[in-house]
Amino acid sequence: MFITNTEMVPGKRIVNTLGMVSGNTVRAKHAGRDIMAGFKNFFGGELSAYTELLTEAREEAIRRMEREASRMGANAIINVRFSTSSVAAGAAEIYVYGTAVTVV
Amino acid sequence: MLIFIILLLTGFSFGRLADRRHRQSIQQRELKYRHKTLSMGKIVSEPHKTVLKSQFVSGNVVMAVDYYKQFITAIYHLIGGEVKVHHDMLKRARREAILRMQESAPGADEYINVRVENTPLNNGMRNQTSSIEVVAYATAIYYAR
Repeated sequence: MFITNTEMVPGKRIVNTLGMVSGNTVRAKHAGRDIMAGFKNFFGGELSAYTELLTEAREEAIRRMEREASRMGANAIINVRFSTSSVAAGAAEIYVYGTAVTVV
Repeated sequence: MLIFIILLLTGFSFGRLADRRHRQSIQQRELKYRHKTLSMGKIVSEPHKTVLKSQFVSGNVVMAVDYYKQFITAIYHLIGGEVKVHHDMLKRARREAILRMQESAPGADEYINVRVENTPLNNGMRNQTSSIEVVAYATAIYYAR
């Protein structure tokens, strides 16, 4: 599966556009991590627990998008965009979307 | 009051130390990727070469807004002007996110269509931003040799 955030797959030719595909996931971190991150707020710097959480969430959202695309029979997803929002207290939604196409 | 001062001092001193260390680490790691093009455009910079592979890459970082920075911001809220503590932090966070993006595909020849976004996260507290996430994503291009 080719995934790009450009309008084409460099070096390939698009033969068929199949439509929009997306994947999302809402993640919350467990309280222990939340408290540790709270302590980190005294000192500043990176909150690696949250970085990890969001990285995993993005990977999961991409996987779900890929699954949807392969069900449609696509072999590439172009124009991929990310969107993040914190829905409720302590939870974040990652939404990733793109256009499923077939390339040769 | 005493707790407040202690919080402020720890934020100031540890924050300073961590900031400096972070800046040095970024500068060192950036050297490795200096010759690689980061482009906002959607086309490859060397169209005469054949593209072997293209890959979606991303990197992210969550930075805490410590109490010292929150305090300074509150002061600036009264007098106005550029809030330098945040300016520096966000700049470093962006560089870090872009670096991580590049490090996830270290063998690529260039990175096209780079996008950088940031999202404020409130750690369970309403109306208050206590950390900021910066995410950078792009398409990594590998040319045929």
